[in-house]
Amino acid sequence: MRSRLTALRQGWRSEPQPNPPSGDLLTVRDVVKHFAFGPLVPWAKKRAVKAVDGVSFRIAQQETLGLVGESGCGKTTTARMILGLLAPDAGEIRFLGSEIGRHGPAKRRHRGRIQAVFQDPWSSLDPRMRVGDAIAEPLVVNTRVRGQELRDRIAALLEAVGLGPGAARNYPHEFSGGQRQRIAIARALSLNPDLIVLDEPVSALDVSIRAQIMNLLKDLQQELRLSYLLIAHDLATVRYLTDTVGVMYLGKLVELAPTGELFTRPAHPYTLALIDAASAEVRDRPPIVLRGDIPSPADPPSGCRFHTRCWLYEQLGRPEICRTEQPPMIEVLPKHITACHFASEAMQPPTGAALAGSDPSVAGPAATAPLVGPGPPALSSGGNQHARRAPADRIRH
Amino acid sequence: MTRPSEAAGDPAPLNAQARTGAPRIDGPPDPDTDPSAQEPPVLRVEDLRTHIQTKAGLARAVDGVDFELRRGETVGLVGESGSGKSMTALSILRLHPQPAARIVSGRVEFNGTDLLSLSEREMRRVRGRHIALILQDPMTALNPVYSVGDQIAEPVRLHQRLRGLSLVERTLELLRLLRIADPEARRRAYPHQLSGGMRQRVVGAIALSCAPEVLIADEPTTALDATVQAAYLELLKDLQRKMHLAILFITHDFGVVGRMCDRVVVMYAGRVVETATRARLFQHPGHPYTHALLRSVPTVAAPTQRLLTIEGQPPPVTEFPPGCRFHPRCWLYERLGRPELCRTDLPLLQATGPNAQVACHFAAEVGRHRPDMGEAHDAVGVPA
Repeated sequence: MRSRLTALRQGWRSEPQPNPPSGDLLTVRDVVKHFAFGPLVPWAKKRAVKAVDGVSFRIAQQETLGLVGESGCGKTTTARMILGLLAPDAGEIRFLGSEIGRHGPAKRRHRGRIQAVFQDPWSSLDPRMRVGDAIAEPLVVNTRVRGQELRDRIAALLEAVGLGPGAARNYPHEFSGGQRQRIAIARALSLNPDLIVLDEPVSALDVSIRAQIMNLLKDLQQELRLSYLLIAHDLATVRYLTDTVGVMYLGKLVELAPTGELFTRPAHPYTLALIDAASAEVRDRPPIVLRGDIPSPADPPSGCRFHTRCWLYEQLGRPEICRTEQPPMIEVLPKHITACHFASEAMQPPTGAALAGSDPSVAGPAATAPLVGPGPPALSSGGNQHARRAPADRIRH
Repeated sequence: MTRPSEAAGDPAPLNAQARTGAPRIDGPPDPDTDPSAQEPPVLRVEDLRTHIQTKAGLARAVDGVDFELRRGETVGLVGESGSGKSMTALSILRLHPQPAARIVSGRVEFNGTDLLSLSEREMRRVRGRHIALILQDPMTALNPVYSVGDQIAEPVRLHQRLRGLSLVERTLELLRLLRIADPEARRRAYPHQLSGGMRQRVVGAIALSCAPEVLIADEPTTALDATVQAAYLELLKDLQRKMHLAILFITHDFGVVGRMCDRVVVMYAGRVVETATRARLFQHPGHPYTHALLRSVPTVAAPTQRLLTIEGQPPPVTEFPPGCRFHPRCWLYERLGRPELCRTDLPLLQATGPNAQVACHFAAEVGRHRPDMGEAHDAVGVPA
């Protein structure tokens, strides 16, 4: 089976594949997308939802990047721009070295190389199309494959996602949610893409089915050398599937780090709160619970957008810099960047003052063990101490 | 027991039992007595069966469910969609869709009274006042054309006959109890003017308005964002301590179970397959289904090399397999050489330890074997 799929992969390339030397498949730089809204009269002052407001990251070959965040953080808008469904207002998105979203022919050439799997397989498949036709459509539109060759490819694709070739004759309603998601994956694979955007691929599925789909995605990635952009709100899924994670909050990327490091040593107070919110275990330190709701992206808070809900801001006595200055992206550890004025404080365990309704005596320095995983004790090294001092100096001025 | 009304010195206590002439339901026990395991459960469900007539045939949505809920305790009712957990909740309150769904047998004892034997009129006095319900989506639970203040006041008006200024006072008190900032202004707001987290707090205020003994929460945080969900769960826990509530928490999320629940009831295909304390369930799951399910869910706490997969999918509710309903997907059944017993006899809940019951013919074998991380189940073989 494996050799058949690999053979198909080589066979159905219509043109020789340009080999990107650098290893970066996709580069997103300072991308901005605002949606204007307001009364529909020309003289009215328009406001804008700052859905994505300066986001940069890159995805290497065969890498999985996860974007996590709560509703309104801009993760789906970012994905839509990468798919070419929305044009960015500023910044650039480069796929294999050339820019997407500006020029017609280039855009069309990329369409087939970047594919998508959406959250809800009940709405992403046309109920009146047979499964085989749904998988064939991208091939019919974009290639000259027809007849027996087309049927062979559909059979191979269905087999690759764990369905029998007979499934091609059935309609989507005859399948369960997990099977439909497999069909959606087969359709995404039909044009032999390099990058697949997975927008919440398992959250609509039953708990016992999720593992099947997640393992399938992992296997296909290895087999077909795919890169994934995973959009998810469930941190456990992200931890399982990704190599790198970007955490977004109100249109900004607040932290970007290798997955293992992000979970063991989060450097942004929001990331720690998200991890605490998703943790099942009762720890010896009370979990951080954020107060209030997510502010509207149409009217984000000044300075650091997270400061209105930030536990560290409260713990540090509400430093002015958080309210006035947008924190720049700084590299706290190699490949680990974060946008927080007090990143090194954030990497220390929270003290009692930060924990809502908790007893300060409980959360002493001894209560740190679960957060700090095994690894080099980089926190106490010289470079970081310097980084920790710097913002404090700025406050004293 | 601290009730919000006592703190405020309200003239009409929230638990104004005498006024309504409700069915004889015992009031709360003396607050000074310590709740212990010996105390009779507030809610006891025995062999509950709710069947639904559908086009596809008879759906045995709830088909023999037993569990108990004690004062001050949170019991998690866990299962996949179609396992019957929500229909169990609706059946307890007799809110199941009628006439399609019928409770065909069983008892639902609330403080000793069988709710299934009450008249509809008597039942109305139990709902909201003694047993309250929070549903998943606050936007559908709230009425868009009434202000949230009116909606919070309604149960208080009906069950406790408060009127005028004292009704407004109670509404404000409840908004404050649910930590809603600026209650005077929020009272006049309509649901669409509030955020998702705030709406679910309003639903919480309605549910707790008459200081019920039992709260049934059906996936109350599924529609909320992660950090808002965490805050809501903390708030529920805090209110539970203050009001000494018994909570039946329905969820499919083991993360929420780990945070909230003291005991867990696991359902599969209309039946309870396991009940255990939280710690026991996570450390020594007793049913092959629970065992496999816990290994098929990734965690944030530690990296997972490869998830276990459970073959197949849950059976359709109209066509449960004979014998043990999990056997077509069961790893232990395969491991034990497909014993005939699993195909022919429905396993009953049996005690496997203190506070632990498992419905499996081979419960003793579960701990001795491990599910195979078999690649045979996977669509594409992992390249070596």
